[in-house]
Amino acid sequence: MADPKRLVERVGPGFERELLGMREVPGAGTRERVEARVLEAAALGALVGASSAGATGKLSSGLGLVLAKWLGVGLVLGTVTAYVGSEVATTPRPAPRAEAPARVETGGARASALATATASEPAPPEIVVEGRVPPPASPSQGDVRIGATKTLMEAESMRRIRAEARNDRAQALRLLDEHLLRFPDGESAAEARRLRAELGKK
Amino acid sequence: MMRESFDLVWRVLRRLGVPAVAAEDAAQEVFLVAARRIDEIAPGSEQSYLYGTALRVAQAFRRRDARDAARRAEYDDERSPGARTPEELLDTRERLEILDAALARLEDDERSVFVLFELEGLTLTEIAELTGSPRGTVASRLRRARSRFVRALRARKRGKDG
Repeated sequence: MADPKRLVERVGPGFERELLGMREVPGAGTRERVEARVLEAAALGALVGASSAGATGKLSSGLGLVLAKWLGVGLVLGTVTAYVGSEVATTPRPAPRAEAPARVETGGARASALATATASEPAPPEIVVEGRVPPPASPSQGDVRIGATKTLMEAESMRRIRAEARNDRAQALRLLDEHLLRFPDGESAAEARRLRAELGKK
Repeated sequence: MMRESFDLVWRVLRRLGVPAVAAEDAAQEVFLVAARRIDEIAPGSEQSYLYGTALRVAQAFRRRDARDAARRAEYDDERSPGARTPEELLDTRERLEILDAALARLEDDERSVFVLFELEGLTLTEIAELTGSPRGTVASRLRRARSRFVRALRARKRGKDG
């Protein structure tokens, strides 16, 4: 069944037509602000997700809590022993970075909670035992966040490429080259190489 | 996706009754949902996904629209409808207000159909898929919406003339 004609085609030239043809546009910089916040919130979401899955999730079980308590006791005892038995230098960490409150109202609640927690929780002093090689540093929150943002950008880049592959092969190949330059070791690198080979054959 | 569709999402949110002060947050919410589900969005269906999400977000915003009017009015002054001179700006803003006032007379489901069909140019079938309603229901909502919209404009004209 055909759709009815649109009002804008039915009304003659005049006020109603102008009214129906109006296109309001957002203010300057709106998209850029939202884009930055979406990337930030998505990255924070991934960070919270990773923390929940990696640490909090495991520790939330009863057994996990008991283990954590015993590990904590062991850590304290070990620290005291190390303090007494060797030269210990404690260097306070710099004050926790006060993050700007996320302007995310929905879907960002978790991110917002994380931001608040990060700013208010005092960081434990970092203990460096002289003469020992420090263990490799675990990735910081900043690293994880950058990683999550990169993953999101990679996914978006791949999504565009898949869309272009159906319409414009040459453009898709160009985008694939860019993608592989930007994310040579990304999660989608294998798919990108395969797609590039397929499109190159056609 | 955001670069291609931001203006469209923002505009739909506005016409669906999200005030200018909240449109930026609402648009952010739409794109956050899309970012979280990016792997589930089939290539080529990005816009319809965004339209569908914008409909739901706008509905939620209308429900919890308890922002203070002063802040809204202040923000509304900052919007840029594309006009250049103060006269044009005033003219464009006045027209937008007339358009929004007429749209505000519609029921929520009628408004969604009207905005998507008349202002955004979607087909009835596309709107039926987005809203999860049968095409016949969408068509009857459109008829009712048109009737109310035209009546609202005529009433305004009569009020102005009289």
